[in-house]
Amino acid sequence: MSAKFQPTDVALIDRTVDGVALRTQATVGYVLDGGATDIQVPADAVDPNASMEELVTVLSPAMFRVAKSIVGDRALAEDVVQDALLRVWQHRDEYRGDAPLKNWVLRITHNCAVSALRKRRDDVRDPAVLPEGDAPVTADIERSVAGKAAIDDLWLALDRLDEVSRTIVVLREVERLSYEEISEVLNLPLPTIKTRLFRARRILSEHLKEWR
Amino acid sequence: MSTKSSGGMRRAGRGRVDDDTLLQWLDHQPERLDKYLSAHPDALDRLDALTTLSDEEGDRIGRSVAPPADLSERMVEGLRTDPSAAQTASIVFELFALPWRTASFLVDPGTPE
Repeated sequence: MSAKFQPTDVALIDRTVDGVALRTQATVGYVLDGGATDIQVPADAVDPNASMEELVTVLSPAMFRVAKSIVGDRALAEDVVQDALLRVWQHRDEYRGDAPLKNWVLRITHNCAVSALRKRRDDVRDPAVLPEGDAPVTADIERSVAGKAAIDDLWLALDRLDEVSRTIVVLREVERLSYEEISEVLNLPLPTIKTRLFRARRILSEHLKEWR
Repeated sequence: MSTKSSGGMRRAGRGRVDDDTLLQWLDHQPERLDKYLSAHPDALDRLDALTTLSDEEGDRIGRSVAPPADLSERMVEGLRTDPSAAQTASIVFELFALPWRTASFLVDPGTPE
Protein backbone atom coordinates (compact mmCIF):
# COMPACT_ATOMS: atom_id res chain seq x y z
CA MET A 1 0.00 0.00 0.00
CA SER A 2 1.45 3.31 -0.96
CA ALA A 3 1.52 6.08 1.58
CA LYS A 4 -0.07 9.38 0.62
CA PHE A 5 1.10 12.76 1.75
CA GLN A 6 -1.37 15.48 2.60
CA PRO A 7 0.27 18.91 2.45
CA THR A 8 -1.12 21.31 4.99
CA ASP A 9 1.32 24.17 5.32
CA VAL A 10 4.65 25.65 4.35
CA ALA A 11 7.32 25.80 7.02
CA LEU A 12 10.45 27.91 7.14
CA ILE A 13 13.42 26.28 8.83
CA ASP A 14 16.23 28.57 9.92
CA ARG A 15 19.64 27.00 10.32
CA THR A 16 23.29 28.00 10.28
CA VAL A 17 25.83 26.14 8.18
CA ASP A 18 29.47 27.17 8.51
CA GLY A 19 28.43 30.47 9.97
CA VAL A 20 26.01 31.25 7.18
CA ALA A 21 22.37 31.69 8.08
CA LEU A 22 20.09 29.71 5.80
CA ARG A 23 16.34 29.56 5.54
CA THR A 24 14.81 26.45 4.03
CA GLN A 25 11.24 26.33 2.82
CA ALA A 26 9.47 23.01 3.08
CA THR A 27 5.97 21.79 2.52
CA VAL A 28 4.75 20.01 5.59
CA GLY A 29 1.74 17.92 6.33
CA TYR A 30 0.65 14.47 7.33
CA VAL A 31 1.40 11.04 6.00
CA LEU A 32 -1.90 9.35 5.37
CA ASP A 33 -1.64 5.77 6.51
CA GLY A 34 -4.46 3.91 4.84
CA GLY A 35 -6.58 6.98 5.07
CA ALA A 36 -6.65 6.82 8.85
CA THR A 37 -5.70 10.31 9.87
CA ASP A 38 -8.21 10.97 12.61
CA ILE A 39 -6.60 11.07 16.01
CA GLN A 40 -8.99 10.81 18.91
CA VAL A 41 -7.78 13.22 21.52
CA PRO A 42 -9.92 14.21 24.49
CA ALA A 43 -10.50 17.88 25.05
CA ASP A 44 -8.10 17.98 27.96
CA ALA A 45 -5.31 16.25 26.09
CA VAL A 46 -2.43 17.85 24.29
CA ASP A 47 -2.90 18.73 20.66
CA PRO A 48 -0.85 16.27 18.59
CA ASN A 49 -0.18 19.14 16.20
CA ALA A 50 1.56 21.10 18.91
CA SER A 51 5.19 21.91 18.35
CA MET A 52 7.79 20.09 20.38
CA GLU A 53 8.36 23.25 22.37
CA GLU A 54 4.66 23.50 23.18
CA LEU A 55 4.63 19.84 24.07
CA VAL A 56 7.49 20.34 26.51
CA THR A 57 5.80 23.37 28.04
CA VAL A 58 2.44 21.72 28.49
CA LEU A 59 3.49 18.23 29.48
CA SER A 60 6.67 18.61 31.51
CA PRO A 61 4.85 19.52 34.76
CA ALA A 62 2.77 16.34 34.62
CA MET A 63 5.85 14.38 33.65
CA PHE A 64 7.67 15.79 36.67
CA ARG A 65 4.85 14.84 39.03
CA VAL A 66 4.85 11.26 37.78
CA ALA A 67 8.65 11.08 37.89
CA LYS A 68 8.82 12.46 41.42
CA SER A 69 6.14 10.08 42.61
CA ILE A 70 8.41 7.23 41.56
CA VAL A 71 11.95 8.39 42.30
CA GLY A 72 11.12 10.65 45.23
CA ASP A 73 13.95 13.07 44.57
CA ARG A 74 13.36 16.37 42.78
CA ALA A 75 16.72 16.57 41.02
CA LEU A 76 16.47 13.01 39.79
CA ALA A 77 12.87 13.64 38.72
CA GLU A 78 14.08 16.51 36.51
CA ASP A 79 16.69 14.24 34.95
CA VAL A 80 13.96 11.71 34.29
CA VAL A 81 11.78 14.33 32.59
CA GLN A 82 14.60 15.38 30.29
CA ASP A 83 15.42 11.78 29.44
CA ALA A 84 11.77 11.06 28.80
CA LEU A 85 11.40 14.08 26.52
CA LEU A 86 14.29 12.88 24.43
CA ARG A 87 12.71 9.45 24.19
CA VAL A 88 9.38 11.00 23.22
CA TRP A 89 11.14 12.71 20.37
CA GLN A 90 13.13 9.66 19.35
CA HIS A 91 10.07 7.40 19.41
CA ARG A 92 7.52 9.88 18.08
CA ASP A 93 6.76 7.66 15.10
CA GLU A 94 5.47 4.98 17.47
CA TYR A 95 2.64 7.20 18.66
CA ARG A 96 -0.40 6.12 16.68
CA GLY A 97 -3.02 8.37 18.16
CA ASP A 98 -5.10 5.55 19.59
CA ALA A 99 -4.57 6.94 23.10
CA PRO A 100 -4.28 10.52 24.31
CA LEU A 101 -0.83 11.93 23.67
CA LYS A 102 -0.49 12.86 27.33
CA ASN A 103 -0.99 9.25 28.43
CA TRP A 104 1.58 8.00 25.93
CA VAL A 105 4.09 10.55 27.19
CA LEU A 106 3.36 9.68 30.82
CA ARG A 107 3.92 6.02 30.09
CA ILE A 108 7.35 6.80 28.66
CA THR A 109 8.04 8.97 31.70
CA HIS A 110 7.04 6.15 34.00
CA ASN A 111 9.38 3.76 32.23
CA CYS A 112 12.24 6.25 32.40
CA ALA A 113 11.64 6.82 36.10
CA VAL A 114 11.62 3.10 36.83
CA SER A 115 14.91 2.77 34.94
CA ALA A 116 16.39 5.65 36.91
CA LEU A 117 15.27 4.08 40.15
CA ARG A 118 16.83 0.78 39.15
CA LYS A 119 20.14 2.46 38.50
CA ARG A 120 20.01 4.15 41.86
CA ARG A 121 19.21 1.05 43.86
CA ASP A 122 21.61 -1.82 44.27
CA ASP A 123 18.94 -4.34 45.13
CA VAL A 124 16.25 -2.99 42.90
CA ARG A 125 13.15 -4.96 42.06
CA ASP A 126 10.51 -4.10 39.53
CA PRO A 127 8.19 -1.53 41.18
CA ALA A 128 5.32 -3.06 39.26
CA VAL A 129 5.58 -6.15 41.43
CA LEU A 130 6.72 -4.55 44.65
CA PRO A 131 4.54 -5.50 47.57
CA GLU A 132 2.62 -2.65 49.05
CA GLY A 133 4.22 -1.12 52.10
CA ASP A 134 7.69 -1.88 50.83
CA ALA A 135 10.48 0.36 52.03
CA PRO A 136 9.89 3.74 50.43
CA VAL A 137 12.42 6.03 48.87
CA THR A 138 13.74 8.29 51.59
CA ALA A 139 13.67 12.01 51.13
CA ASP A 140 16.18 12.91 53.79
CA ILE A 141 17.54 15.93 52.00
CA GLU A 142 14.14 17.43 51.42
CA ARG A 143 13.15 16.74 55.00
CA SER A 144 16.18 18.48 56.43
CA VAL A 145 15.86 21.49 54.16
CA ALA A 146 12.17 22.02 54.09
CA GLY A 147 11.40 20.76 57.59
CA LYS A 148 7.81 21.04 58.61
CA ALA A 149 6.84 22.52 55.26
CA ALA A 150 7.73 19.22 53.67
CA ILE A 151 5.70 17.38 56.26
CA ASP A 152 2.78 19.69 55.66
CA ASP A 153 2.95 19.26 51.92
CA LEU A 154 2.09 15.61 52.37
CA TRP A 155 5.20 14.19 50.82
CA LEU A 156 6.05 12.23 53.94
CA ALA A 157 2.68 10.56 53.77
CA LEU A 158 3.20 9.73 50.13
CA ASP A 159 6.64 8.43 51.04
CA ARG A 160 4.97 5.78 53.18
CA LEU A 161 3.52 4.27 50.05
CA ASP A 162 5.32 2.11 47.55
CA GLU A 163 6.22 3.71 44.22
CA VAL A 164 3.38 2.15 42.29
CA SER A 165 0.75 3.34 44.76
CA ARG A 166 2.24 6.84 44.81
CA THR A 167 2.11 6.99 41.04
CA ILE A 168 -1.46 5.75 40.96
CA VAL A 169 -2.43 8.43 43.47
CA VAL A 170 -0.80 11.16 41.41
CA LEU A 171 -2.29 9.96 38.13
CA ARG A 172 -5.79 9.79 39.63
CA GLU A 173 -5.96 12.60 42.18
CA VAL A 174 -3.74 15.13 40.43
CA GLU A 175 -3.73 14.29 36.73
CA ARG A 176 -7.35 13.10 36.84
CA LEU A 177 -6.80 10.14 34.57
CA SER A 178 -9.52 7.52 34.43
CA TYR A 179 -8.85 4.12 35.96
CA GLU A 180 -8.65 2.65 32.49
CA GLU A 181 -6.07 5.23 31.45
CA ILE A 182 -3.99 4.58 34.56
CA SER A 183 -4.12 0.89 33.79
CA GLU A 184 -2.74 1.59 30.33
CA VAL A 185 -0.03 3.97 31.52
CA LEU A 186 1.25 1.61 34.21
CA ASN A 187 0.40 -1.62 32.41
CA LEU A 188 -1.33 -3.03 35.47
CA PRO A 189 -4.73 -4.74 35.79
CA LEU A 190 -7.68 -2.51 36.57
CA PRO A 191 -8.58 -4.18 39.91
CA THR A 192 -4.98 -3.76 41.06
CA ILE A 193 -5.09 -0.08 40.20
CA LYS A 194 -8.29 0.39 42.17
CA THR A 195 -7.42 -1.55 45.31
CA ARG A 196 -4.00 0.10 45.53
CA LEU A 197 -5.54 3.53 45.08
CA PHE A 198 -8.25 2.95 47.68
CA ARG A 199 -5.71 1.63 50.20
CA ALA A 200 -3.40 4.56 49.50
CA ARG A 201 -6.25 7.01 50.01
CA ARG A 202 -6.93 5.52 53.44
CA ILE A 203 -3.29 5.91 54.45
CA LEU A 204 -3.12 9.47 53.17
CA SER A 205 -6.40 10.40 54.76
CA GLU A 206 -5.22 9.11 58.14
CA HIS A 207 -2.05 11.11 57.80
CA LEU A 208 -3.96 14.26 56.97
CA LYS A 209 -6.09 13.83 60.08
CA GLU A 210 -2.93 13.68 62.19
CA TRP A 211 -1.79 17.05 60.90
CA ARG A 212 -5.06 18.90 61.22
CA MET B 1 -30.92 -5.30 57.46
CA SER B 2 -27.42 -6.27 58.49
CA THR B 3 -26.76 -9.45 60.37
CA LYS B 4 -23.61 -10.14 62.35
CA SER B 5 -21.80 -13.38 61.63
CA SER B 6 -18.78 -14.98 63.26
CA GLY B 7 -15.57 -12.97 63.36
CA GLY B 8 -17.34 -9.64 63.60
CA MET B 9 -18.11 -9.53 59.90
CA ARG B 10 -21.39 -7.87 59.09
CA ARG B 11 -23.37 -8.99 56.11
CA ALA B 12 -26.01 -6.91 54.45
CA GLY B 13 -27.89 -9.70 52.73
CA ARG B 14 -27.09 -12.17 49.93
CA GLY B 15 -23.41 -12.32 50.89
CA ARG B 16 -22.97 -8.57 50.68
CA VAL B 17 -20.77 -7.25 53.49
CA ASP B 18 -21.28 -3.82 54.98
CA ASP B 19 -19.05 -0.80 54.44
CA ASP B 20 -17.11 -1.09 57.69
CA THR B 21 -16.15 -4.65 56.91
CA LEU B 22 -15.06 -3.70 53.42
CA LEU B 23 -12.83 -0.96 54.78
CA GLN B 24 -11.38 -3.24 57.43
CA TRP B 25 -10.49 -5.79 54.80
CA LEU B 26 -9.01 -3.04 52.65
CA ASP B 27 -6.80 -1.91 55.53
CA HIS B 28 -5.85 -5.20 57.12
CA GLN B 29 -6.94 -8.21 55.11
CA PRO B 30 -6.12 -7.65 51.43
CA GLU B 31 -6.33 -11.33 50.52
CA ARG B 32 -9.81 -11.58 51.97
CA LEU B 33 -10.83 -8.42 50.14
CA ASP B 34 -9.47 -9.74 46.84
CA LYS B 35 -11.43 -12.93 47.26
CA TYR B 36 -14.60 -11.01 47.98
CA LEU B 37 -14.07 -8.63 45.07
CA SER B 38 -13.65 -11.50 42.67
CA ALA B 39 -17.21 -12.56 43.52
CA HIS B 40 -18.58 -9.03 44.02
CA PRO B 41 -16.81 -6.69 41.58
CA ASP B 42 -19.43 -4.01 42.21
CA ALA B 43 -17.90 -3.56 45.66
CA LEU B 44 -15.06 -1.67 43.96
CA ASP B 45 -17.46 1.16 43.28
CA ARG B 46 -18.49 1.20 46.93
CA LEU B 47 -14.88 1.33 48.03
CA ASP B 48 -14.24 4.12 45.56
CA ALA B 49 -17.01 6.19 47.11
CA LEU B 50 -15.97 5.30 50.66
CA THR B 51 -12.37 6.38 50.17
CA THR B 52 -12.81 9.44 47.94
CA LEU B 53 -10.53 12.29 48.95
CA SER B 54 -11.73 15.85 49.22
CA ASP B 55 -10.67 18.50 46.73
CA GLU B 56 -8.50 20.04 49.45
CA GLU B 57 -6.72 16.74 50.02
CA GLY B 58 -6.20 16.36 46.29
CA ASP B 59 -4.72 19.84 46.13
CA ARG B 60 -2.29 19.03 48.90
CA ILE B 61 -1.15 15.90 47.11
CA GLY B 62 -0.61 17.99 44.00
CA ARG B 63 1.50 20.49 45.93
CA SER B 64 3.68 17.72 47.33
CA VAL B 65 4.81 16.71 43.85
CA ALA B 66 4.69 20.17 42.26
CA PRO B 67 7.43 20.95 39.74
CA PRO B 68 9.66 24.00 40.02
CA ALA B 69 8.18 27.06 38.35
CA ASP B 70 10.87 27.27 35.68
CA LEU B 71 10.85 23.57 34.82
CA SER B 72 9.53 23.95 31.28
CA GLU B 73 12.04 26.62 30.34
CA ARG B 74 14.93 24.60 31.69
CA MET B 75 13.73 21.46 29.94
CA VAL B 76 13.54 23.30 26.61
CA GLU B 77 17.02 24.70 27.12
CA GLY B 78 18.30 21.34 28.25
CA LEU B 79 16.99 19.62 25.14
CA ARG B 80 18.69 22.18 22.98
CA THR B 81 22.07 21.99 24.66
CA ASP B 82 22.38 18.53 26.20
CA PRO B 83 25.76 17.26 24.89
CA SER B 84 24.85 13.67 25.74
CA ALA B 85 22.10 13.81 23.15
CA ALA B 86 23.80 15.97 20.59
CA GLN B 87 22.26 14.45 17.52
CA THR B 88 18.76 14.39 18.90
CA ALA B 89 19.17 17.83 20.39
CA SER B 90 20.24 19.26 17.04
CA ILE B 91 17.18 17.77 15.40
CA VAL B 92 15.02 19.22 18.10
CA PHE B 93 16.71 22.57 17.70
CA GLU B 94 15.97 22.71 13.99
CA LEU B 95 12.41 21.54 14.19
CA PHE B 96 11.43 22.73 17.60
CA ALA B 97 8.82 25.13 16.32
CA LEU B 98 7.17 22.70 13.92
CA PRO B 99 4.30 20.41 14.77
CA TRP B 100 6.13 17.44 16.19
CA ARG B 101 4.44 14.81 14.06
CA THR B 102 4.93 16.90 10.96
CA ALA B 103 8.57 17.34 11.90
CA SER B 104 8.72 13.59 12.05
CA PHE B 105 7.99 13.41 8.33
CA LEU B 106 10.68 15.94 7.54
CA VAL B 107 13.28 14.18 9.63
CA ASP B 108 12.42 10.76 8.23
CA PRO B 109 11.68 11.37 4.55
CA GLY B 110 12.09 7.68 3.85
CA THR B 111 8.53 6.91 4.77
CA PRO B 112 7.62 3.72 2.89
CA GLU B 113 5.60 4.18 -0.22
